[in-house]
Amino acid sequence: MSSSRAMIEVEGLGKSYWVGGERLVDHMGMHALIESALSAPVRWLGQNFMRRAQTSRFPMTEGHMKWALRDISFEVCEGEVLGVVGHNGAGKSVLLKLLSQITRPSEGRARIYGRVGSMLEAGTGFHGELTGRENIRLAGAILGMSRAQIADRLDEIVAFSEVEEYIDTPIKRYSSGMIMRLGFSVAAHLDTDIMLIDEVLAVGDQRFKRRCIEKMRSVATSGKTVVFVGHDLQVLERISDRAILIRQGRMQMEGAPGDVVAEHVRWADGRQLDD
Amino acid sequence: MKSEVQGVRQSGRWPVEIRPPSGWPRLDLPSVWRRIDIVYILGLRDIKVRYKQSFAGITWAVIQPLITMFVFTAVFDGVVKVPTGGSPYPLFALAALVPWTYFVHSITKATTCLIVDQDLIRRVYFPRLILPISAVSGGIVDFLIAFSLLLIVMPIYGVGPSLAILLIPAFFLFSLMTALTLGLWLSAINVRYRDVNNAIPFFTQILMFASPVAYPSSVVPAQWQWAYALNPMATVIDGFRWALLDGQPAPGPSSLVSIAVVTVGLVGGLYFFRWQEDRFADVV
Repeated sequence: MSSSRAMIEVEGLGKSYWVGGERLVDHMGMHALIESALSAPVRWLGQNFMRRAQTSRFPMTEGHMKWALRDISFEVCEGEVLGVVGHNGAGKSVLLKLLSQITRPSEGRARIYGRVGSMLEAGTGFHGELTGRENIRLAGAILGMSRAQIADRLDEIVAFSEVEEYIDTPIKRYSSGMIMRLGFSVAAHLDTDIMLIDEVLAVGDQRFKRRCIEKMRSVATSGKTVVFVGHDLQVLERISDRAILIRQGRMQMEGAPGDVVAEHVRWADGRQLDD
Repeated sequence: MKSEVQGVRQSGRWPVEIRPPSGWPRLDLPSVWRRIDIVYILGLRDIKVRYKQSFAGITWAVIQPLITMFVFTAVFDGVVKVPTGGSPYPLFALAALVPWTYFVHSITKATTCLIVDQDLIRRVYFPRLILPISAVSGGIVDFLIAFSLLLIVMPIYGVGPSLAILLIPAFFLFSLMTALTLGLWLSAINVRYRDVNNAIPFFTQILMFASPVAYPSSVVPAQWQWAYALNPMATVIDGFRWALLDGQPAPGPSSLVSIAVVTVGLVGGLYFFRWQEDRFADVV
């Protein structure tokens, strides 16, 4: 049973942000401090005599803690593909950011046994003044490829991106589609034990998008451990071995991809009826 | 593949623990070292980008100290008559302007590095210390070019290098450390308070008057030399002058003050940066 070794262990992971207003005076800056002091009498009047005023012109600046993600626990075993389902703003991206160490959690913990590669956003690290080729080297290094790996895969990356003709042109002359294709191509050629993939990375026109999804599928089936955040439920159902459903930052369900997707769709339909 | 995974895991590198920030931050310099090629590639990026679509290109590395040298010579030699201890004033100024230009360029870059590369901070993980380190390293090329200029100008004034020139790398390294120290503190503060951005040009200008760039450090009274050396660049510039020019005094015992300031500042800066680092992606 060595293949069922856990590569990712997540226990009670949570991330909170401070929203609306400022927590500490020293976070406000002088402007806000003066403005808030000057507007205090008006706010006081508004609060006491004109109910409306406080919500429009001078909103109360008291913020509150908001959990973007809370009580998330799961494991991903070696070679397994875990699909993550949820609406926009449900906390899927926060989860990927936590697992890729971009931001730290507020509670709970995660353990990761292996090198992590992130395919989160296309074009990370690109610089407009540099050529396509220079940008591949730059972004590749930042994403975690060694110089030898980049040299090995350069031709493959260029070929996949379909920008061969312009590869020695500064990318500020590229169309946005070309930049996104190049960006996807670099990220897709990462080779780590664990891959975090966000489906929004699949970019470009319909044809290239299909190729992106195809590429993600081949990464997912190549024996790597994958966390896959999906929006296209059909794709997600096909790729994943198991899935979790996140709703408003909480884990709602864990199970077979088909069941999780069905539950997600049922809930979404129900919400539409309510509207 | 699997054995490699096991092997590294046994060496204590894995698992990666992801938990809330708590307690004293860990420096974890080996993790910076493992990704050191990013320092190189970001440094290369900055050099390339700076001189793209530029007519004078890399000669800018020479133009800046050279023009400043002319201006300083006109003002501090032509008008004010600053004593130089026997050295020709243009050379006396240039020996200071070369490390000074590097230093100003480096702290300016280091201070803004987290803002300039905030996209990276929000989108991909690597040890954030890489960014200020890369910012102060990128100027090495410019420094070397400007230093060659110095070596060309020296014989024009009949000054030949002595053995002391071998100590130049040490003095340069010290200016790099000084720039990194300031960069660590200021870049981390800059993430939250962009005031630092506005203060930097002003700050470097004032610091120049507090450094022996246009005048010799010997004009400072002996009993105040230790206070003067609280500015490590005073020691760097004295070192450059001593190593390159004839008859310039060697940095005195007050340079120990400079070394202490940089050591304490650098270690403190590393911890401060690591402590703040967890919030960069959320705040920047």
